[in-house]
Amino acid sequence: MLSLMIVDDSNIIRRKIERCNDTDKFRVVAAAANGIDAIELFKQTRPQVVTMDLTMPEMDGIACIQQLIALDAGLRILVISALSDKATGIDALKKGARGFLCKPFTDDQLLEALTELTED
Amino acid sequence: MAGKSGLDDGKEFNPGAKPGYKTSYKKYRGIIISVALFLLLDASVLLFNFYVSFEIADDAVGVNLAGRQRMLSQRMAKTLLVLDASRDDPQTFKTAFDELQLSKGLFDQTLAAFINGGQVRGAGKEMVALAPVHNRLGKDSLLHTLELWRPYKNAIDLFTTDVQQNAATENSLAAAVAMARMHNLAILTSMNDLTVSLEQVAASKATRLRIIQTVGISLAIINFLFIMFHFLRQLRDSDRVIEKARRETTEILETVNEGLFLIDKNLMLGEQHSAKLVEVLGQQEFAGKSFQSLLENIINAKDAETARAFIELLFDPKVKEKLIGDLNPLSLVEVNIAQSNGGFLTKHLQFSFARAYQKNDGMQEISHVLVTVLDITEQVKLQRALNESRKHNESQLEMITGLLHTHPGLLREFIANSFNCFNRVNNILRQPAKTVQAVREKATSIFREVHNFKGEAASLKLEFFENAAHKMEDTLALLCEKRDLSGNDYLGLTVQLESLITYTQQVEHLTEKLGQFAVVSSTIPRGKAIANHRSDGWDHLNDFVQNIALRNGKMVKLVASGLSEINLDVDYQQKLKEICIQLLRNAVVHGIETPHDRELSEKPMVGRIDLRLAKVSETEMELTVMDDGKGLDYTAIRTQALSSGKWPEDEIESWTNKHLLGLIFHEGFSTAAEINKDAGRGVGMEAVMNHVLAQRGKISVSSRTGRHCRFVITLPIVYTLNREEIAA
Amino acid sequence: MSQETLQVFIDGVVRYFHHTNDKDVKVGTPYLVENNNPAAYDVTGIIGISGPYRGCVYFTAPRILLKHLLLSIGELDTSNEHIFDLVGEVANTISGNARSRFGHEFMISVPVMIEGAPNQIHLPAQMRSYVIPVYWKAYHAAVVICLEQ
Repeated sequence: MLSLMIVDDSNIIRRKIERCNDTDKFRVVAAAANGIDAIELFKQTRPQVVTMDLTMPEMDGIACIQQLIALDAGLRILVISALSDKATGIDALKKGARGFLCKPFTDDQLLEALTELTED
Repeated sequence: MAGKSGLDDGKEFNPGAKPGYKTSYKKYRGIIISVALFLLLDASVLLFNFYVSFEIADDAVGVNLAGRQRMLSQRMAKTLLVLDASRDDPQTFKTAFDELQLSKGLFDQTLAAFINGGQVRGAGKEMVALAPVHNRLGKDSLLHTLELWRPYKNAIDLFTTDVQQNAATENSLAAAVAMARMHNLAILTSMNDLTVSLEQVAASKATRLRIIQTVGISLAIINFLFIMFHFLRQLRDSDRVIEKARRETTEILETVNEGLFLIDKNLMLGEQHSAKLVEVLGQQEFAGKSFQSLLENIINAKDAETARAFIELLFDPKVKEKLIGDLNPLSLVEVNIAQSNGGFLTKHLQFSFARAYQKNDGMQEISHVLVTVLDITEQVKLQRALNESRKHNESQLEMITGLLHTHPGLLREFIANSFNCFNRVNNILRQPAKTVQAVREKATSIFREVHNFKGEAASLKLEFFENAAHKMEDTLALLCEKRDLSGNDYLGLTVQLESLITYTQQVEHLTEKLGQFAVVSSTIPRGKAIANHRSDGWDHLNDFVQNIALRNGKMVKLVASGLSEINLDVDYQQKLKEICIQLLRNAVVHGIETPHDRELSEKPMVGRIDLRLAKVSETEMELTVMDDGKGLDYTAIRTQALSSGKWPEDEIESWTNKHLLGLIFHEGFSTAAEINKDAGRGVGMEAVMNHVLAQRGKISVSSRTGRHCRFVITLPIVYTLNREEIAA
Repeated sequence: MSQETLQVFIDGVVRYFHHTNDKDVKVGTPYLVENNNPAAYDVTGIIGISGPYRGCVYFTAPRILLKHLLLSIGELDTSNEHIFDLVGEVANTISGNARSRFGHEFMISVPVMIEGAPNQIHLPAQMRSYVIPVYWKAYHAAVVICLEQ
């Protein structure tokens, strides 16, 4: 069972990802709507996996990824974002995220991506 | 692969490194063993050589000493004789005595050593070890010697004791000399035998050494040859495998349908690439070029930079290959490739990237990225064409719905006419025609049909049909101009006809659907239903009349009444409308004069058509269409009847006006001076007659030349079914 | 269905006749027939097609034409067996031509020979076929194409 934190400013997406709780692989321990909250929640809950939106208020996903990786270099971050700008997605991975899932996605796609992300 | 990158497949490209490592020890084990064996052989031969050499050296000592025994035996005999002779010469006696002592000691000691082994003074005064003699001949001769030597030695010892005690020596010396005389020769022979036997032993050892050396060297050579042969064969085998692999790789690269190549961490292209790559990206030197510069020549710098960043991600082992496929910026790119003629060729390419791993110290390491380039220009074009045609279809649909909304009855008639027209065209095509002339005539006949059809479509503002007909006219015009016209040349026309039929069927299908919609709408409350009928039922008749009037250069006012007052069944109402349309069309085209003519006849410039529907009884109604035009032109009808050639001239001459009137309801009878969009087909009045007859109705026509023409049609009333009652 | 696609099948037939001694084959004006009333002569060779287009193409000819055709290629035995073989040959030429032009995206069946017109298995009733008359010597034959996208 891996602990998971959701970072996304969309309520709907957060709820959608929270459905991962239904599986016996992931347990959602925190959900943040912006980067600043995410950093705070990360320090408290220390999740092993993070799903990260890129466009958010306060602190965007790229900056958030950088800070999270500074706190935990082994953290597995999955970027979940729309494909408006591939360069930004690539940038997020350069900053330390390990995978990218394109919005919109199905429950199966999400689970598959998270499984792939956490496999070694 | 459509839309998604090949990364999703998660293929690991592994260029054979893994099996290589595993087999390398196994492959070389044979050769290692062979070499070890070779060295072992050499070493043992050398060792044996050493050993035998030492033995031979020892044997040589033995041979020397045996020789010395031979010499000593003679010397002892000689010194005894000298002693015997020099009894009076003490000096000589003394020297000979000493020599005798020395010789006797040496001989005795050596003999004992030969028999039992032991230390002996060698030729150079040094002490040498002597092994007991084992060979049969030597042993025999030694034992024989010993036997002889014992009394001999005793005699010498007695003589020696006498000399040392200064006793009389005559007797003992004589005994010793006698002993020497008796045994000397035998001892010499024995010692000689010993020498020979030792020499033989030595010689046999030398021979054995030579044999062993020969065998050893031979084995070593064989081993060496084996190594050489084996090694060479393995080398050749592996060369062959490599060559085969190379050939296969080349073959693959020559035949694959994609551009394939590897790039390394520095984004440099590998030495090899598929032949297709040249076709896809244009002729150039690929090997050793950077992927970045390859891209920069065909896409903009920003995209090339994004692509570089993406590929760098692939070399980062932390990043999950399967989870970045969507980020591939080159999954669909439009590229412009410079052509040798100076222009640019625009292509749509799909790049896919896959990690290639190599095993390094047991760790899978991302060594390269395999790039696959696919030219999907055709697919993209096809997709675009598909989208365009979809858009086109949508616009058609819009047009159809628009049309259906305004003229459902007209459209239905038009559709029926269209199918008739298509059938006639198809029948013309079907007629066998083997001469160029016959084939050419078809074009002319079809042109006439299509042109009529186009006119009709135009009159109803059915632009799609008008355009389709126009395109067919274009095709036909080309056919007419073509020399050596053949049946095959009509293929395009037939395809156009087919698609027009299909389209018309779709329109028909839609009208039927809309008809059903009308049925449904009539079940809503009565007042509303009537209002609906008015708006989508009869209103357009005025538009229709005005349209035809405009096209025919006439001015008409339609005065309609009573049309919506009888609540008719929908289908029945439709039939009635079609009758109205025919009669109104005839009234405008044939009845009403041009404003100019009307002015000359002192009539109002605007003609008037009265359309009236009235209930005669509960079961009967009356439709009246009357125009204030020039009335029926009996002369024109008669002329048309004559030119049709269907009846004998004198018979036509005898016909009354009433009879002539009947002709206008005949198929293919038209008095219009020329065929145009609104008249000339001569099918309309026949359709009216058929409708009326089918309903068991009546038609009466009254006409006054220059004043009016009036059609009065009596029909039974078919009311709307009260569906609520049926339901109850 | 595009004109180009149809032409490929027509070319296939013409090509076959060009291999005979009497090369004077003429193509008539193509027309349409509803499939519920298919056009056919005595013997018909059908090839089924699937892929981007689906349906069938058939060559149909009267026995007398086929007999004459057999004689013109030097075959004196004009038994039914040979006549069927011949129609199969023509159908094969059509499919071979189609294969070389369309490539592998089209799957083309081996020819099926029947007497008379193809049934509904081959011809969807609600569709129309193109009939391309073929005139050879004094005889009439036809290529019929029924494909849907």
